[in-house]
Amino acid sequence: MKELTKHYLPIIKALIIPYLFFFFVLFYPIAYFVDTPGGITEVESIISVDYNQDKEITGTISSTYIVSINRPTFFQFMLSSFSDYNYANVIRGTYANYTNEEINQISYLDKETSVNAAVIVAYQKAQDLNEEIIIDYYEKVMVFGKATYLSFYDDIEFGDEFLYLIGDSDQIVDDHTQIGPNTQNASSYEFFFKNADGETYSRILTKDEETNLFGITLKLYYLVNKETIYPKYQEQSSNIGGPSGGLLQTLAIYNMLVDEDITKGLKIAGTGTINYDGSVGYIGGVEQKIITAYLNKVDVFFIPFLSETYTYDNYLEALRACEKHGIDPTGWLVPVASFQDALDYLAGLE
Amino acid sequence: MKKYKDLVKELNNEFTSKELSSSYLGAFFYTTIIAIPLLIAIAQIVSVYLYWLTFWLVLIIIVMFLLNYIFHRLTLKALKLKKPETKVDIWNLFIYQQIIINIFFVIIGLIFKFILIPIWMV
Repeated sequence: MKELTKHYLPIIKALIIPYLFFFFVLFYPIAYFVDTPGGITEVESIISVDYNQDKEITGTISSTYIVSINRPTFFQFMLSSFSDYNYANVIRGTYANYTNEEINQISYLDKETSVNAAVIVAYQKAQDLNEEIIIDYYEKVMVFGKATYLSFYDDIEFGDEFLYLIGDSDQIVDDHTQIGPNTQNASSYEFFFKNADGETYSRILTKDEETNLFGITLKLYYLVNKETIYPKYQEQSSNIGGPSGGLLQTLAIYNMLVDEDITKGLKIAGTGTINYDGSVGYIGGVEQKIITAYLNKVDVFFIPFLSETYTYDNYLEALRACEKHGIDPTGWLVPVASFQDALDYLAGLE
Repeated sequence: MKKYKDLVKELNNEFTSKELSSSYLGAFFYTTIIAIPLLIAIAQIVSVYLYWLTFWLVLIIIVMFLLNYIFHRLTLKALKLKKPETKVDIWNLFIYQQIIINIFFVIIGLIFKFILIPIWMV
């Protein structure tokens, strides 16, 4: 060791500053996000239904993921600029205040609730054809957003269930839409939550003086009752978060429930969130998802199309992305506004 | 294999275990200093260009070969600096070792490609 150090000392001395600088570039995070193409994941590898086990599914139904790097290092940011396929921009909006860990928590909460929505919509649709199928669900109001001024910020986690609060005149308010009207007389109120471990806790939340808000966003979700559902389904743990696989998850689950094979031997992919009424919602990172679909040579790619006049409509964005990268969208890029639209399109294929 | 065993015997006769461990440790230390930023940089390249994952996997295996080579070169250098007059064909011995370690890296790479990555990428 001593001999080597002595022998290479001039080189070590010369390289020590560039070496430390390189480390700085490798570790210094910047307040940007980078979206890059990712891949496609067969829904079957994540969700399986204990039904129709003998049914032969000839094609595949896959959700599309992109790689979204929040606060990349300086090195990652520089790397991203070498390809037209990547998109980098400043983190804006509420996400700018969240840590990367919090963004991941939101992403997994989105994904979890999206799978529940997909199961509900797919089972309800399949129920029309097969009365044997049973779907039952319950409501749960969960913490979906936190402002920096939220009291007890660190105690309240994303995904914690809102139970009730003690409102004006000591009234118990368990309807999250009635929080505003029932918290007019004071600035602080006691909120009750249930965390992921099932423990109930309460915190006195104080309104922010500037905004007159508590700084907490609550959202109503419908979650599957796993006790009563028939047939049962299994969900594998996954490293991919976000709600954008909702439409494709719904299609794949539906295909597992019905006798007919809706894939018709095709490699089907797509993107779009699913709402409880079966309508499809917008997603982000359209350009990278289109490139991902193109690189993976899919036969059909479903994309939300909700407005011809909205510039940032996903389908219109997708067409612009195709034009930018010289991709011909004919025959495989399919605009849809609902789960039914996707089913109708597949039913119309030879 | 016999030639390898003979070379190991020669090396052990020529150098004390303290000299050998000091050389290996020094080489490992400096190889690690090179490897850490290199592997972090590659991990970050992979994160940005994930869609070329197979290509990066091959590159990582090649980088591991290179680090293996650097480690053995540095070990050789350390031993030669300790005993410049040594007649043992150390490099020949190290070629055998590098081949064995490189095969290990290829096996690890194949496990990643066909088992671990398909599990993680869902």
